[in-house]
Amino acid sequence: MQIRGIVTAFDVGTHTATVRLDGSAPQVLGSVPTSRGIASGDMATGRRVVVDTGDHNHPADFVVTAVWG
Amino acid sequence: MLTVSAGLTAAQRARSKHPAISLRLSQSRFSVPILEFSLIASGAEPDCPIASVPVESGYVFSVRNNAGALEWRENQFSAWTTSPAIDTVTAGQGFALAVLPGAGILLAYGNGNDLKAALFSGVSWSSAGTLASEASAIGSVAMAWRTASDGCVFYTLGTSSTLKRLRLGSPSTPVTWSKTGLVASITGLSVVLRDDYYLIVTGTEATTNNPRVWAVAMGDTNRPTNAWSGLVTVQEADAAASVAFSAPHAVDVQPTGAAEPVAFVTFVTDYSGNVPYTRPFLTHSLPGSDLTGQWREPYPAMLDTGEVSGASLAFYSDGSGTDAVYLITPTYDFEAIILPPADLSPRVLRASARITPTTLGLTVELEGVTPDNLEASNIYANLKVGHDLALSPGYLVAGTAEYGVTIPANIQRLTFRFDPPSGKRLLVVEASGPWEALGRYHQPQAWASSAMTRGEVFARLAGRAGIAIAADGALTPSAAWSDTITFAIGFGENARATLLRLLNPTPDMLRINAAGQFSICGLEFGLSPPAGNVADYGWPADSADPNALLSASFVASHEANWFRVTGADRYADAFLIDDEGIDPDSYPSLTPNIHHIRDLDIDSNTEATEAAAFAMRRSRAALVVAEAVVPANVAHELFDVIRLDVDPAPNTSGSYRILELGIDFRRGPASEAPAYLSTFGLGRV
Repeated sequence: MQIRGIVTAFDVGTHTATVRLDGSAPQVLGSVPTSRGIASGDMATGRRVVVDTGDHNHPADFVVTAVWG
Repeated sequence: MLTVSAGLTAAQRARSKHPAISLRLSQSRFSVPILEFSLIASGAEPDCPIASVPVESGYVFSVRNNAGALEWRENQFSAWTTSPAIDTVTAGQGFALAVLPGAGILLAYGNGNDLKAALFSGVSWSSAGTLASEASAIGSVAMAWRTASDGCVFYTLGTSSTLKRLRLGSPSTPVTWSKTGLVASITGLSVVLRDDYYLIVTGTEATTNNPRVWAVAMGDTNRPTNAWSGLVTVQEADAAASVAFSAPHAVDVQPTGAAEPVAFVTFVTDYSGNVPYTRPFLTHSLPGSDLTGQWREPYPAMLDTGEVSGASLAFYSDGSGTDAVYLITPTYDFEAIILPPADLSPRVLRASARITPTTLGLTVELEGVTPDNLEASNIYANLKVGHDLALSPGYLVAGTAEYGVTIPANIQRLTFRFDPPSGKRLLVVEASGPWEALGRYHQPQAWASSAMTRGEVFARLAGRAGIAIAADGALTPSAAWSDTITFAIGFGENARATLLRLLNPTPDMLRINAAGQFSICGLEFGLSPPAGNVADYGWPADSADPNALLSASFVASHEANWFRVTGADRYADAFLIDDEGIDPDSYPSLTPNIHHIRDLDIDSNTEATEAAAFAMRRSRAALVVAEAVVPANVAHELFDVIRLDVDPAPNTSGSYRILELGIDFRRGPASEAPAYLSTFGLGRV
């Protein structure tokens, strides 16, 4: 399952993002692994991203695969 | 296997028997009362905080804080008494109402730094007395009384994290709760009294400032006196979400005949982002647990968005069938009458139920359903999509109906048929169970946890859809439910698919109890069933154990034989050919047929190996390999073990576990030939 969202924070050390998924106004999802193909500088707050959930409900299987905006 | 009376056991084994079918319709959803609010009064009144208590059927007493004036009215249809006001306080300052048994209605309220109380005798208010004085202004107030001399007032200091309890009825001093360090602010309080006090608290969490609605218990009977439970999240948001929670109102609802109360709560959600709104939401606890258990996903109460100060709740029951919940604001007064269950048994022409570990379907055809008799018998008001429908098959025992298993379902479709030539009217009711309800539920917001067990995560997700879950009393669940797991779910994910994913790494299955809720059953595959839990069906019938067998069929088909579990940095395989329990004469095809499970919480070789073995056991046990049809046996439940003593093929005689349970009833002759049968889909033991 792929869900779109907005970056609300990014941890450069762990290369993980906090993302507010579209449709989930009240709750962000933290510590989402981010593709190493995406530079830290591209993960600015407010940028749009695609999150692939992996369909296994394990946060380590979630990954930010694209960023734009 | 359900324990039924000796009379019922004998009746269902007798050569000549008389079926009895019970079909009950209830204004509930999986045993939680459905509140269908109707507007009964309204007026052009200012929106402001309000508190209410029921005084008699149809009438609710209320007090409001109208810009600092504490005003009251005797019921929804009377005018507010504004002059003189009960007292003058700060606008928005908290207050609470409670019935003081045998004395009247007590109002506790903040007046500056003082906590005060005044009693309404039924005619007039007493002079206000001071219960406590603080160094800063009183914020929110909640109150409940067990007797006229045993009660407790809870209050906060402004919107700080300081919440105090003041036990009344004997000299007492306020004591601060033990949760101050966990909370950054408190915006509202409400309380329900059962065995212990249960508070609903709105505010924000310490450190994160995340908005929260919490439930928390303070011991009075079951828990140690004055001891506080942990904070249980009822609703949540993150600090940057532009969301705030406030104005909680809680009430226990236990309609006549209900086994236990369910707590309903309203609270205001204020969203200040794009497309802002401020409106009361409604949620409820679940049967089988107190207010510190799971909570249903909150949903807007039946109000427009102008009711920003909250909506109070009151419940009235005369204990003999007159039950109603009231949703009260200064402007609007709603009433939800909870009707007694309706008995549809005499109208059943046909009934057909099919239950599997992950599905439930029930279809009934009813006759004699003209508009007139539906209205007259209150059935029509109860006959709605979403209401509970419970089928109980049984037999007449010495002229009296006795029933066995109850098949609880929830109506999902109603079809009214009219046949013009004959003028006949027929109603077809189709109902389903909790798994189907979960299939209709999608996660409304992202959520993650790294500190909860598999059982807690499962209970939380099912609870948001209104489905309770508990361990089965006889079939003890495996230890897999106690594993701490790391879990995340995104917006829009389907609850059924998610819960099946959580269930898969366990060797357990779920069945549905009589209340329509999940029961976790540990199936000790390969072990002998408990003594006394086996019914024996053979041909010809055994005269000592005469359970007739009408038909039996045995099926061989492809099945998975290779189970791979991928965990964190490792994988493990289980091959059917390695299982020592497999009969060498019945090895499935050697064609590789792989089944894959991915679970990154598996982070040791032992866990991975065990999970692969679990997957193989589950797959073997979940496969239907036989079907038997017998005269209706109303004592059987899913996962019971039966014996079949017939051998149309080698090695077919033996024990089997019921994986699919069917009941078919046709009254006849209008509905074709009469029939009353049980159909078992059977798996290996």
